Amino acid sequence: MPQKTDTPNNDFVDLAWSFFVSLRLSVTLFIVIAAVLVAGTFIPQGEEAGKAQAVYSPGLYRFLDSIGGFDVYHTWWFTALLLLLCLNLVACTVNRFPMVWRRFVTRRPLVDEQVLGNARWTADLPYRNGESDEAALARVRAAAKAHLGTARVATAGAATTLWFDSGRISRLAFPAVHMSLLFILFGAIISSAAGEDGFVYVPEGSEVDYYNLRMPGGGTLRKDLPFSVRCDKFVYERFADGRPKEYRSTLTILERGKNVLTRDIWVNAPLEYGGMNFYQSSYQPDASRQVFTMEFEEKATGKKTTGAARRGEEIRAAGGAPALDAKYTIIEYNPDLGSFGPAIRVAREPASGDRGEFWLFQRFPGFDAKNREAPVTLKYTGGREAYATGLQVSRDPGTPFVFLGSAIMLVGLFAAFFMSHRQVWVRVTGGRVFVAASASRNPRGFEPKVRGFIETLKTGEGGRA
Amino acid sequence: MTHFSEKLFLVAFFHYLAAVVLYMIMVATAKHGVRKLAVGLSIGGTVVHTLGLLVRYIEAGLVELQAFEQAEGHALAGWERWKVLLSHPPFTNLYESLVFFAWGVMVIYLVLEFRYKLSLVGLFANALVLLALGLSSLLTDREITPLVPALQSWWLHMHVAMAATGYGAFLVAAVFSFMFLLKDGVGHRRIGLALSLVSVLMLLGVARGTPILSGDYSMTLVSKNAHGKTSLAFAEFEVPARDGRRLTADVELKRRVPHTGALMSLSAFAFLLAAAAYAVQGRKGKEHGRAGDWLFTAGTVMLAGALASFVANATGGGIRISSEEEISSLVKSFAADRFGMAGGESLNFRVSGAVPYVVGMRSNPYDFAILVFLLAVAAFQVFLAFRHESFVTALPEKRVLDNTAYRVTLFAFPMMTLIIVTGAVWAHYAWGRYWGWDPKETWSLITWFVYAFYLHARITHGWTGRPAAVISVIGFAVVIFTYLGVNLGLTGGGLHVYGKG
Repeated sequence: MPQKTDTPNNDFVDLAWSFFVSLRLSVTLFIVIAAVLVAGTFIPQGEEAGKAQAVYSPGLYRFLDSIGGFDVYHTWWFTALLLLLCLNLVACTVNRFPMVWRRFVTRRPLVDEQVLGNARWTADLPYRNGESDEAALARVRAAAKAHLGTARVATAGAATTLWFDSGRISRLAFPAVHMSLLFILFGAIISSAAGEDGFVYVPEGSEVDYYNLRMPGGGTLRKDLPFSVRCDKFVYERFADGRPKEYRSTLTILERGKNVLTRDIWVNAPLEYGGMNFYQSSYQPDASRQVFTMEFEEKATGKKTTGAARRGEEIRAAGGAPALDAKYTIIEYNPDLGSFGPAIRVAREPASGDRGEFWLFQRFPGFDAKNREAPVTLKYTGGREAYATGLQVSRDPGTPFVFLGSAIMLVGLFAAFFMSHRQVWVRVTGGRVFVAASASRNPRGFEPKVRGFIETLKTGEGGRA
Repeated sequence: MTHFSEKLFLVAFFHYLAAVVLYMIMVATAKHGVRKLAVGLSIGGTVVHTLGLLVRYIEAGLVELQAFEQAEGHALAGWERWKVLLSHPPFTNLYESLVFFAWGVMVIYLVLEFRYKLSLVGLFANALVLLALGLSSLLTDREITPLVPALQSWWLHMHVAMAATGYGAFLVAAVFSFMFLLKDGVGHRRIGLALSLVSVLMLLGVARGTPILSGDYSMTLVSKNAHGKTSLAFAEFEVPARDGRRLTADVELKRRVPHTGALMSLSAFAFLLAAAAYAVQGRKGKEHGRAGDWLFTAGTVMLAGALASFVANATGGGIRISSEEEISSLVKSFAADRFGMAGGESLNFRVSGAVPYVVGMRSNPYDFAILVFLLAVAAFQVFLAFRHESFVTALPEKRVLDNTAYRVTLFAFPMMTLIIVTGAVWAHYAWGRYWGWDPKETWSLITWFVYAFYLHARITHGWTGRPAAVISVIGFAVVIFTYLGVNLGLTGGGLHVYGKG
């Protein structure tokens, strides 16, 4: 119940307070949020939303679109629901905290009424015949050492009380778990407010100092990086059956032109630098760097020469062969021209005479010889593919909070469910040994220990339970 | 190729089956000595099951090693070799995941069996595990293939291992809660009412939106590929969206089969009448009227008939499409039905597989599993109609059932949290975000919510007994949806789709 001092507007505060701590609010929020979550998994979200257009009726589509139904998890009202849940959580935790805290800090080394009220087990045993207080205490200590561990000793008047106390910290587990949720939600808010997500393609051997930021609602925005990233190498390995085995990029970070860090990244192993994360997410063939190879054949003599070039470059004859009869340049590349496979367009500029252009198909080596009247014909024989590595670039300052919160939650849940605040009091005075014991949870787990201890006191036998 | 591990799983399956039969005998004859034998069979099955998983781990490791050595062009040695050998855990596709989940359930059940010696828990545990293994055996994709880059992570081991134990624990908790409800005197009539309604709903689910009374039921065509592997046939084609863009849709190719649909409709109808009868009996305060039971039994018989006709269609069948023309006209009719695309000529499409296409046991595995599950549950209810007293007497004490369900949930909830957290960490490394509202993620959060609610209701507001048991049983339905429903494509896609190749 609210513990508020009397102030003039106390009614309103009380009302608001009891609203936020009410079970009805929690249950309602649980149900409403769960319903929204469920709905969001059946209605296509975000990038998938295009599909909805093909399936839903126009009226339904417009309605859902107007309430943000195709991006429910990012609507203001869903955020508001989560915030309300947060307030509910905070209020309930704050409401209970004083009691929890009191239980945590209050130490009761002596057997008093409260202890007796909470004790689950008690035993009242007489001293052994003719035993002195000291002898009895020594005997109790020995038994206690075997069964319970170290004790604190308190004396009140003639009575000596041994007090065993363990797992006290578990009293704070429940508030810790609830606060950890706040941590996680705080992290999530930072993520959505300050997080950035984008991508960039870096051709092998070149560097970039920007990335393409994905904007909410589609589209991208070019954004500068405070440093440059170079892709030294990209490797795409396949298994024998053609399935991808590994995508791996060697990245170098450059600050003002100086190399500061070189590392390999692959799927599941990103690189983090300067608060930015670089993930291996895709790749694309980089036609501008692809090296094409071809073969020249002199019709009259049948003499063959090979050559190679990149797009836009003049083709040079391979190693020491005589110069070609004209200047050949690759001006266009199409990975699949008219579904006839890879093709290149070559321009021929003889020293004297007209410039000509023609296509070569990798899959049809005889094409040029058949179709073009010329002293020298060409075959497109292939070449080495070049790639640009596709990096996902993101910045998410909320992540540490989320993971810290998760860690606290896990530890807290463990403490809350599997630890127990266990206490035993043993008062030795006036010919009697009085034992009281309590456990905040799972008494069955503590019972054998307590029983074993009492049994040892009774019989002087019996080891560790 | 059948792996040796699969044979071991089959041996385990028969152990569990024998255990279930023994439990049934025990309840029917009140001979409690049989229980020890049933527990023995459960242990035997679990040992073989464990062995199977270890063998599978090695088999997968060897596949991985071979693929790596082939790709790298040289043999691996030392630490590198071990790293590759151990990189492929035995739970990376839906088949393995179900087998592993079943193992998790058995281990948790056996731990509880030895700690609390609760009779009859084994019946439910074994029966549900049978179902999981039976479902897994229907899946087409059992091949061990090298892991794709996205799955090459040690987080995979953590995440999925947690999932199997966590989900397994929720299942065991739900079993205790269900037993509690029976023991608590939730009458035979009420359970009958609930089961009738669940059966009707599930049959409607199997009908997938086709009006159930029309008796239409279609099965997906399967075909063998070049490697002799059976796979589902689907067509991919372009669909124009309203905004003018073109989207690719893929649709499974189905053919209508005789009798099954009609029998399912009749069964659903009988269950609906049974539900009504049970409800009316309740109104009149007649707990033991027989009308509901008879109708329920009728529904069960029809269901058995539907199942038999399903199997007949899937094995003998008679449905066989051996010409390409027939397949393309089928695709065109699909395009016309589903997307209103009449212009068959201009339709661009691609069909997986090759002729001949047939209907087989692997056509609609989930429908089959649902039918078997319903039949098992319905048979149990019919059985209870005659043996209610002796069954309830054989159940453990109410207090024990309630308390054990709670304790198992206390274990399962932190596990569920761990599943989500390890998933988030993995997602952070793999996809660059810890949370992305993927349907699987969202459903795991829903599951977490439901059990958080259970714990709060119980710890803070003292909801023990019946309300707690009801939440626990509902919670498990949510777990199953999170586990299987999302992968069956019931939701809007997502990244966790390991059901499809």
